[in-house]
Amino acid sequence: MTLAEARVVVEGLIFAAERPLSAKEIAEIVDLDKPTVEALVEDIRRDYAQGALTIRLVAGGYQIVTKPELAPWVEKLGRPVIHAPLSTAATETLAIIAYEQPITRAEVEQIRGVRSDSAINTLLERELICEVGRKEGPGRPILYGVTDKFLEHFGLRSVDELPIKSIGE
Amino acid sequence: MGYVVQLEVYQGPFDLLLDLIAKNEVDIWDIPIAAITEQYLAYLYSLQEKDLAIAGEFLVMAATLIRLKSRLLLPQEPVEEDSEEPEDPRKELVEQLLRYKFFKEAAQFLQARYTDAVRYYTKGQRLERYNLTPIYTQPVGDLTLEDLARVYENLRREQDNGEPRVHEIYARIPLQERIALVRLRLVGSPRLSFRSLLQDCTPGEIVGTFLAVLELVRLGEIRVVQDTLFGEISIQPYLWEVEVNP
Repeated sequence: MTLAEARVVVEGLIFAAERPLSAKEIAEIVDLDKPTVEALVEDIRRDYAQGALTIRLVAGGYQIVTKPELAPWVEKLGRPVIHAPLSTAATETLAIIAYEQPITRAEVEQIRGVRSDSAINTLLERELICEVGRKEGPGRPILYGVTDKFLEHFGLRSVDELPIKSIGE
Repeated sequence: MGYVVQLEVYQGPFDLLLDLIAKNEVDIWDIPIAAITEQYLAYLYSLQEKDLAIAGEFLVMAATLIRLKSRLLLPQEPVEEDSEEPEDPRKELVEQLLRYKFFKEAAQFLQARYTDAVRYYTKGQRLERYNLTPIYTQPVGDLTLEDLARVYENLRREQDNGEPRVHEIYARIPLQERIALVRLRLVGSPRLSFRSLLQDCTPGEIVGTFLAVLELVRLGEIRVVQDTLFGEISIQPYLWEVEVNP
């Protein structure tokens, strides 16, 4: 397979995948190394400059999306149901879980100072968080962590993109 | 009793305290506990006056503040020679506040990221059309609590077939069960009237069915349509247009 052929395959893979596709996964399929795949994706993205689409890196993978300036037009078609914004309580809870994961509900509640079970249920339902295990100790409480969907939802490449945690001392 | 409009909404006692500290423009490391406690309690009283239930967490914090206030009033123990400065009794609270504040800001960061992220559309997302014609061409302003009660009374009478009725004083009506029932009724029906769902229901079941419908709307499984003001409310399963095309 020539590089030009590989480039076409890479584009097809990203298009067809239903979730962000990592360079590593693509590299394994087309049997090239990761830097080559990254260079090919960059090349495809450059080609998209004139068109409606672009490739974004989110949740550790590539995804073909419409350009943000098209948003007002796409929204005339309708808005995705999942785009219903989260409540403040749910967003706060999500922020705590993103930074402190794995974390139990009781620990989240200690930070927020209020009960958070309904916020956690909402986040579970929307698959922004998931159970990641059980904490050793009395009652073995459930531990929660954020999901890839969380990263995708907020357009983050990884949790490292969250602002650095610096709590006043 | 009239309708109550909620005052400022706080996520919890920390949120309220941070707001008071910001409004008073005081240093978080040197909180004037007496003044802040007074304002904190004033807020709780204002909730009480509005007939709003005060969450237990707010009361616990009130107790903490009052305890702190009394500790600060007591004369400080003399500093022992070898020990460093005596610990500020406010320290623990301040640390909790700062910790919470960080996550509150992190949540705002996420909200901002979200507004950016939603501008990128992937293919084949379920798009909910919003081009429905507005139903409320005239405001419902004149509708009073009594009107609502009358509508409900009519509805109940409609179902009264003259047979003696057994009233259950207490019945557990799991929401999941009601949801399952509504889903079942929707199988094969492109359109179902809300009223038909309530047939032969006890008051508790009516409430359960109503909540089930709300929940299904929220989950995006159904949509609720009312063609005319106060007209028949019908329920339609959401069409998963995306899944039609393989």
